Amino acid sequence: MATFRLYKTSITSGNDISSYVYDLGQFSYRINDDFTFELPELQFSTTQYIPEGTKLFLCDAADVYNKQISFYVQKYVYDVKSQMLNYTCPHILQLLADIKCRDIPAPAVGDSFGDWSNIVPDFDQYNNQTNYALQGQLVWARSYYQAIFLIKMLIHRVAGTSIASIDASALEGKDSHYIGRYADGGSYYNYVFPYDELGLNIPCTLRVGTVTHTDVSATDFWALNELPNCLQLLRHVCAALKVSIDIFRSNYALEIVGVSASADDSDVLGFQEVTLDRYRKFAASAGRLTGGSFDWEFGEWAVGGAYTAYTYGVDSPDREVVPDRAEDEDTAVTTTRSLSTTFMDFFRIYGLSVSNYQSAVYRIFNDETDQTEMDDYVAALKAFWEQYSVKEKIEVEATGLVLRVPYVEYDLAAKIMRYERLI
Amino acid sequence: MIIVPDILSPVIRTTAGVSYTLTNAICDYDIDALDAEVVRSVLNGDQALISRGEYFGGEIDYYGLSLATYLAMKALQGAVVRLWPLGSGAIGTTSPQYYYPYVDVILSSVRPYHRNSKLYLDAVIITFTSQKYYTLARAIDNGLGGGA
Repeated sequence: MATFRLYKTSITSGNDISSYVYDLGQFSYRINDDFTFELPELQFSTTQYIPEGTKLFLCDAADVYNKQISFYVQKYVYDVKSQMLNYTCPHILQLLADIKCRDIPAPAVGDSFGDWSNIVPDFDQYNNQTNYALQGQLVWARSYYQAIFLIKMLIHRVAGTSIASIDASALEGKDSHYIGRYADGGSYYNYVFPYDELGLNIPCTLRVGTVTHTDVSATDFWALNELPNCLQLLRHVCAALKVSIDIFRSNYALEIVGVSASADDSDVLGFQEVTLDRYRKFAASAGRLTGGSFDWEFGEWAVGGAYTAYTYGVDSPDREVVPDRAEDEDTAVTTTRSLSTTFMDFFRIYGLSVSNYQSAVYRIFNDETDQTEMDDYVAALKAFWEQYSVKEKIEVEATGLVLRVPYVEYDLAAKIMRYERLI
Repeated sequence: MIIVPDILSPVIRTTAGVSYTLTNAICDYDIDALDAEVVRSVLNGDQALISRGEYFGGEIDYYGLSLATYLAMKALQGAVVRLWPLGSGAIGTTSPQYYYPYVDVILSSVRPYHRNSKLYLDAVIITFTSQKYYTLARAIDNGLGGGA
């Protein structure tokens, strides 16, 4: 039988409060149908006083340093009758909800990211450089976070995990579901973007979720309050990359959303099958912001020619992977039997072709044979979900902290794990 | 009794300062009744005691009382009085000076009954519980000032 431990502040024997946890709520982690995720929240009762903000580590006793899930104390209530403190502890990544996207740093290349990164990212991970003369001859105004680096940076910011130790090996060098098509010598060639060649434009990222490019400068309290937060951004980046974060590992392994393996039959305590709606559609129609004046630029320098600035950075369809949908959603697909995911305004994934001398331009298509522009994210997700018709709900003895997608729930007080898998 | 040298008749003292020594009383005390709960960790099964305190309760069966004493006792039902359960006074040869323990109790019921005996025809059963958490111990004063 697996055993679990709860530590406060840090994982040392003196901080082990397992002996004083008298009631422990269930917690769950869900990868939604649109590949965004819902974070767990731990609730427990103890006689120990733990100040607000303290980190908590719920660990698999067999491997406390690697198999753990981090929470933080958000609030506690003292129950006089039972003489216990009842704690509410969201997952550590929930802290991102308190940080606005506009506060993500965008320093010049090579400068410090402060609390946001404990490394100086390489050129293929990050660039914020407007001096075109330094960037080769055929240059798009480079200003991007590599998507994987951005995910790592967001995790590092709140969890403190070293960026170098966040495991993205399942993605690095691996093909994403985004395909580019380029012309060379009159012929067209396909190019599958690896995960590490997907990026987010910096000015877009800082303005994500706003309506105009000036909203980001809000000083009014309420306008400021409405600005999107980094947790929303992280959800959308993971969704656009079809990636999940293994929050049950200290290295926050990034993994392509897959399907859980079945438990051994002997382990199954409860079982239920639910038929999935086969028709799942993710769609919205494109919208574009026009007019206004710009206070930042994203554009192209033609060889020996003039500079062309793009409107808010969105007018480069050649590099745009996930377009803006929010302002004009296609309600035709928002029916009870379909799903619609709507990315925030200004949310863009771009194909990066990184070179410190020259960068190439790609058009992005639905797949290798269909040359229809991949102007939405529908196809990839729909194709994924259409493979599955049944969802199994399984209950087994909790034998350790293991991520199961799309849904896993731990009831450690009862030593039970419930999860779902698609078949 | 290790707390006091001799167990004497209990004494009740009202808020008005009237004392009654309950001579011949038969006492059944529930001393240091623990108000506590054993809790168990759901993670590793370790147990702990959450202790809130101790109460002093019990009942006194008081024989041979007069009608006047009975009425006085009955009038105290529901009231808080000071009780010297083991008798009152100073405990000799202690330094510093200690006294017989006392505790403020709520007289939760005062019930008379008749016993068909030639010695004690009428009696009253007084039940009580301490007003606050109280652990039986020698007192540092005689208890005649303040309190109930």
